[in-house]
Amino acid sequence: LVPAASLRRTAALAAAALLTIPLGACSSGHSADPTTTTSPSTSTTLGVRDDLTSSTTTPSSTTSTTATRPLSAAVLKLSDLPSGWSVAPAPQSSRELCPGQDPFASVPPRATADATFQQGPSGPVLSSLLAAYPSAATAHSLLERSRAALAACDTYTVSGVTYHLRPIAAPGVGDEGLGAELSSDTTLGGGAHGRVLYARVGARVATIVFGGAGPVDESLALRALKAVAARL
Amino acid sequence: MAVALVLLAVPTAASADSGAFTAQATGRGARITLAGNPIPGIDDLTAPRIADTDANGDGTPDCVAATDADQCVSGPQNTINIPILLDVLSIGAVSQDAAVDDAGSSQACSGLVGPGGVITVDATPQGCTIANPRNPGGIVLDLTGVSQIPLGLIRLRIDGVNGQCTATAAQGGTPTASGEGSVAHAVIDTGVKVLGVPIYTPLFNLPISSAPNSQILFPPALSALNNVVSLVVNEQTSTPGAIDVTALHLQLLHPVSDEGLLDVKIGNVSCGANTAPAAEGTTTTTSSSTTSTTAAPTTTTTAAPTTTTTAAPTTTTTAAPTTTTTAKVTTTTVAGLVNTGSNSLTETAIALGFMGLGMVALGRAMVLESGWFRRRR
Repeated sequence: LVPAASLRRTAALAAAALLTIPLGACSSGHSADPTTTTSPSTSTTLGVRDDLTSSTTTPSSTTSTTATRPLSAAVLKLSDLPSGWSVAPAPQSSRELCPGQDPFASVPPRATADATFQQGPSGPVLSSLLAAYPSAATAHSLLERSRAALAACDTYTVSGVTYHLRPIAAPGVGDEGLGAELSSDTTLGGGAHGRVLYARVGARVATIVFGGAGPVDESLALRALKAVAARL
Repeated sequence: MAVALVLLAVPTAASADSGAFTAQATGRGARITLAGNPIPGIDDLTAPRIADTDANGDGTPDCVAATDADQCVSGPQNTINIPILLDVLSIGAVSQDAAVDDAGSSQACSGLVGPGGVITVDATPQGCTIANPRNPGGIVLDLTGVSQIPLGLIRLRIDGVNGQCTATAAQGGTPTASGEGSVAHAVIDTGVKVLGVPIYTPLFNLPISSAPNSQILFPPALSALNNVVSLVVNEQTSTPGAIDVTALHLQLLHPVSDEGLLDVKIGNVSCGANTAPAAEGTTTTTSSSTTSTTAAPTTTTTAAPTTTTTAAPTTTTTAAPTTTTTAKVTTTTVAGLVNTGSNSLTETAIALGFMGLGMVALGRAMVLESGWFRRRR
């Protein structure tokens, strides 16, 4: 048996932990993004963004006056979503696409920001991750690594359940994009469904992960990506 | 003899004749404690919705539900959003309602709701309306963090958790109370992380019984979880004319003892005991020496091992054939002077009285027979 004092300590610690739970938004920025200091008035010029040196960047993506915003300002917001969504706990630091495939570890960004939302405690979950790179070329390499990872994630098994992560048509947002569809072989409750979408805007990359048990409104993932990309 | 005379001379009047019905009900969407203690902030957030015509408990109505029902009701009703607890338990939102009338009826409803959802008591017919404009609510327990079982992402998802109860009091009748709690689904989900975001898929459904005080058990493959998580559906306790129901009682057990660490009751309701005024033209007489018990009121719930149906020491009845009075009266009984037979103490006193008289007569006869008086003179 555990002594009462021990239980009280446990309760106190647990209560303290509870009180530290952030009740507000869970969006977070993970490091400084030097590109965010440029004033909006000069943001239409390619040269002012030290992270935009690649010629692969199209003019349409760099004329956005929002290009100098901090990542945290561009990240997905509750107002981007229909009613009924709420802030969810932030994802863990690992950014694997599937076990053993972590493009973000291979091409580490110098700044990130994320926000995650859920439609009730059971889900589905919609999360956005923004990453800033020194150059558009580096950002492009992230998409290339992600494309290769998708090929490796075509079929994999976790806890006895087989999942598939297969490429779909690119979302057509930003300078370039990438898309994948998640499904599972389980049939109970319709199995898992999800979308993973990428959009590169200059030296920044927006990703959307949307999924849950049973059918989900997959068009919502695209709408969320467009909302975020427009603020990059 | 003297004792018998005192007992016979002190039949006391009961305080049951308030002249009006009283009724009470409480709905509480969630009741959460940690190591037996309320959690600051959470406890206030999940304050119950209480309907009571006799809030001060003196047997006299404090409000008239027919003219302004709000005066009889206190506490929040609308959607109550509960933050994630200990990083493992996500309850989402709950709602609750309770109502009373001036005819001795009360009812309560509570449970999980989805975003913007609300639960309300129906007036006629009695029941609950659960409005979920978007999706139904659900409680999610992250088993990955508590089970220490190497199964990857795994969680327990339970939805459709609602409790309801009703209670009545009728003049000349027996108060009744009934209630039930229900859980629609209990599902074990497993999941994967995609870019760090967990995406779950249902693995299997857990069987749920609607019988009172039923346990949800994990299947053999996950049986170790039964030592970590306790789940009881439709948990009930009752006393005559009153019932307390919890649709889902979840306990996250302490890993090294059976002491409940996190205790969560979802869809908790209680109704009764309601009281009726004494019937007009009848006499209400109660003696502290004639306390008797009444049969338990009828409830729609079935008996269960943990249901406590106790005899009603606080209910008194009169001996007159045309009079039956029940009231929310606390009668102090003296140990050794009360038994379960009817009017047994009075009968004992009378018997003692006759026995005393008999002994006096016998003694007198013996004295006369022995000539003791004559010898003294």
